[in-house]
Amino acid sequence: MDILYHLGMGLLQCLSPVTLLLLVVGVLIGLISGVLPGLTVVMGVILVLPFTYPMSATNAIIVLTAIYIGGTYGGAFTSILFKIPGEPIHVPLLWDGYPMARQGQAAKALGWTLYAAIGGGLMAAIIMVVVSEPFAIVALKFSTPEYFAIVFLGLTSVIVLGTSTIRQAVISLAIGILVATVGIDDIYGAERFTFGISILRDGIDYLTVMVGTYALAEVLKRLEEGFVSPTLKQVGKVKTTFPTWLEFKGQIGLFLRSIGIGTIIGSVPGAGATVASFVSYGMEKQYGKNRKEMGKGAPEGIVSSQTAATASVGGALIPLLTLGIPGSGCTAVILGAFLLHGIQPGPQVFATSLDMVYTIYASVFLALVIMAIIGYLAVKPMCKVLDAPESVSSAFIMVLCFIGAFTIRNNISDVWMMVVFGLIGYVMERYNYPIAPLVLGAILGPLAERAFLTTMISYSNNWTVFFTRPISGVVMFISIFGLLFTIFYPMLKSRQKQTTLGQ
Amino acid sequence: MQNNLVERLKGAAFNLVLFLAAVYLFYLAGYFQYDIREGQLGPGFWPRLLLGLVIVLTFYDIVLGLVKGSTAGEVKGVLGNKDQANQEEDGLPEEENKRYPMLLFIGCLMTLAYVFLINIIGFAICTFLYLAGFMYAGRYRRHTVIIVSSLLGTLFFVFLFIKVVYVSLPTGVPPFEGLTLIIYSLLGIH
Repeated sequence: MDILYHLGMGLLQCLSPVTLLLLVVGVLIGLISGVLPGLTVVMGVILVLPFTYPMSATNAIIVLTAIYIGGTYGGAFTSILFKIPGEPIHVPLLWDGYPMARQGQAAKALGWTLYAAIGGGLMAAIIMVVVSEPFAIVALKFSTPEYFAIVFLGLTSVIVLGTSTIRQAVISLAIGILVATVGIDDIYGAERFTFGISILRDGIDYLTVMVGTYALAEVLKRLEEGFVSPTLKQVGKVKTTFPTWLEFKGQIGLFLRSIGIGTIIGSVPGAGATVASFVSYGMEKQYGKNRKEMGKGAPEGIVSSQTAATASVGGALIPLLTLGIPGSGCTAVILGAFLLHGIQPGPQVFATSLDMVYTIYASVFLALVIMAIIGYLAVKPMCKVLDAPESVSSAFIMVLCFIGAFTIRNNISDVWMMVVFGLIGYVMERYNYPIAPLVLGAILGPLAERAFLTTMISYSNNWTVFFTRPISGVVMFISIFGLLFTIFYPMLKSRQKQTTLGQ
Repeated sequence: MQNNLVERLKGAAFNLVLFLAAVYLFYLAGYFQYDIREGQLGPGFWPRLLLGLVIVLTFYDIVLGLVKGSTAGEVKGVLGNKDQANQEEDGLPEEENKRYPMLLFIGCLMTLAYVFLINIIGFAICTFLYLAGFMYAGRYRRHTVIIVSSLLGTLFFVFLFIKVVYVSLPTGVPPFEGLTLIIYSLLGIH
């Protein structure tokens, strides 16, 4: 009952004209960043961050969350209609959404996508609201070994769920964590890797790393490819047709599975909407009732990936708000916004700023509704965004990167740092090193080190404490099992295949 | 054969840089200044742990790259394996995009110049030049659109970040500072 009361109060706060306007603008920016191939949703959230400085903390978080939500859906239009995924999240939609469109069922494919986005998003939001407060109460009892174990889970998940080789992901992650060690350390007060440069004493802000590696490196990469904008075919009379109740009823089980996968993966620090979308699609293709039809234009392919992608937003907000640990790239930026407004998310927030927490929750529900309305009415204008020349939009993105880096500490050194990370990001991508582990390492590195060293000091360097305490032990076991399984299972499988071929 | 060797060396170059940097930083991490207390791991422990990992893995990568030449068939993350499986199913290899290294070079140069010049010629002028230059470098050739969008974009950024968000963006040094202040006064910024 308390939850409903607080949620209602939060909703009232969100209905103020300014907040409503911010929600609409946020969702629109999210949708556009989802549509444009050169602009990812993380970039969208990063680039809007400097605009949120004069806002109240609540409004800043609301607008960034709205972008995040919109971004998980925007690229669906162009993936289905033109085979252009604006986001990696929507790559699975190419496998079933586009074939459906080619079979003359584009409107139905868009309808399933809208159902999936709104259904997945709303259910995950409900789970988020119900789970967060009790989880925050439990989290108050967490000590440093538990924090370390959770961060360790995040660090391993980005390796396990990545696209590159495990070794390259580990190297990238280690570099990210090392970047976070630059400056004066928290525990011993020692100066590390500063090379006498004064700005490095304050450390390297992870937002600088994010702006450089995600945004600047991506623009440079696309510039090298000559900004080849996709040729857009005629949008024609695009409309959205909703599936019938009977069709929907047949997919309820799939909806629930995908919501579960999306929420759980979203809540794992380090795994975001893209991972949720791919894993959910993969699970359905491997074990689903209609798996043989998937890849040829089956609604299951759309529902599984889109539901999980949007559901991951609610999941990702749980560790952010209850533990102060970001669950994805977007929530890392949102964490940055919290910190810039002087608020440290974590279990204490539920005691000190409950109104703010519930206003953010309510805004998630409203953003989903706004997203559905815009998504239903504005498919055609959204697709038209692709007509904008990429070199023009990229030039503006670059300037926003400079401003974004500058405003972190009002210092030009951060802009230099951002450019350096942009170049590092570009080179790493050229050599097939993944960027996500580097960024996650820079974000979670300080948390991991602090939790690890504090535990070592508190427990007289007894590292077994991570495995003997029940919660941290279970989380550590899951992390290590996941890592070993990812390494050894494909090896075992290929050996079995070779043996079979040999026979 | 020789081309193959050159390719392998090229592939190993980045790993070699990482390896050497890691060795150097590992050495540095042993000399951090702090109050040594008995039984504590010290500020160098964590970085050394990570650097040790980087050294081992990059060394392995260098050897593997030189001997084998590629990472094909290696264990990848879950999504990497799925991607591969989908490609195999489609029968379509990933399309290799055409590259324009000169554009990249110009883009990098312009970016470095922007950061270098922003304190001298000020945000407004520097941004206008950068926007127009970057659009042109990106092979866009509608001059009116370039100039108008760069000008309006610059004015929008100046107005928004200085008047609304209160960010003290660089105004430059004289005589550019004077020009920036004229732009500010035209926008009603005092």
